[in-house]
Amino acid sequence: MSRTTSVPRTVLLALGAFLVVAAGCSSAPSLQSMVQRAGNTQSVRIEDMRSVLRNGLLTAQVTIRKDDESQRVAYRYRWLSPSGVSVWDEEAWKPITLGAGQTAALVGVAPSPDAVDFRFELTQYK
Amino acid sequence: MTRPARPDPFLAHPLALLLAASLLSACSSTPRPAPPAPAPQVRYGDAKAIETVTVDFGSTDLQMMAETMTRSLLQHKVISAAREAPTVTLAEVRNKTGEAIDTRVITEKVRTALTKSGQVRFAVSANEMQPQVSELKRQNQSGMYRNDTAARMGNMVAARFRIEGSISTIVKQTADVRDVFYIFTLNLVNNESGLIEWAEEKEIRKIASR
Repeated sequence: MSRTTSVPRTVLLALGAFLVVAAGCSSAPSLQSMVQRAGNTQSVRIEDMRSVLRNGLLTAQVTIRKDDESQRVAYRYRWLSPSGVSVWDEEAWKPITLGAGQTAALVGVAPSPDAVDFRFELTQYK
Repeated sequence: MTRPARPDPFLAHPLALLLAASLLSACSSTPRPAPPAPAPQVRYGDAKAIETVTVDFGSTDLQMMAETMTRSLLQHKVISAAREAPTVTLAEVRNKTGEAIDTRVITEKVRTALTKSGQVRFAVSANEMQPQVSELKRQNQSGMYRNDTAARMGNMVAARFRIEGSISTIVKQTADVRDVFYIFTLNLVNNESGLIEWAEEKEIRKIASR
């Protein structure tokens, strides 16, 4: 006859609380903290954000979406070293017009192998 | 016997005459000098901001083209997988548009970014050869320099690759709309084999409407 060991409920609760706290203390930046907005861009949703190392250069892709009326926005990436310092000059703002209900995947490539992290900057332009 | 006419006391008064003269001058039709034009306001702008003053080729186009080309080339295996930084030189970028575009500024911007990355080394281009030759001659033939400090002739590094390309436009225009489509293409050509090792293009559409 096999015996099943049941874990006390209090231990499970303590473990869950620890995991929540540990996740909160993690140094990985949240999606929102990686996006810096300027102007009236709150209606532009960030749907997805990912990055990959391709041939030694960090390549980022941010997917944005506009649900209601079309809007002209501009974006650029800021590339950071392990210490969080920018590895390059500021990029040029790149304009894009998002139609109503349109999704756009915006790809950026780091200018140097020194870049290990990035920030996505979004602003409006008229 | 007639009495002599007495002068009008109002007109005779000097202050009255002055008042009349000033009134007349105020009512005269002589044009007044135009007020001085306001001094132009000078301010510094953001060099990276989107510039849409006209539909013609502008700073934002230049920056976007150079950035696209640089990042694409750096990511290509010819550069990223090389054991040591390949040597490259700038060749001609043909301007096939109807605009007066300084294509050299695009390739020089690409060159600057590639050089800063440390992944590529650039040899002087054909356009820049004259100052290089002049300097070598000055050091070796003027008789003014010590031999052990002069840059020796015949030691220049030849470029393994060259960058060349073109920029073209398609322009459509009506009374109210002007649509300009730019396409900028760059190629990395192996000087020995003649093979195009890398190619990239950047398309930009600009529309001006009333």
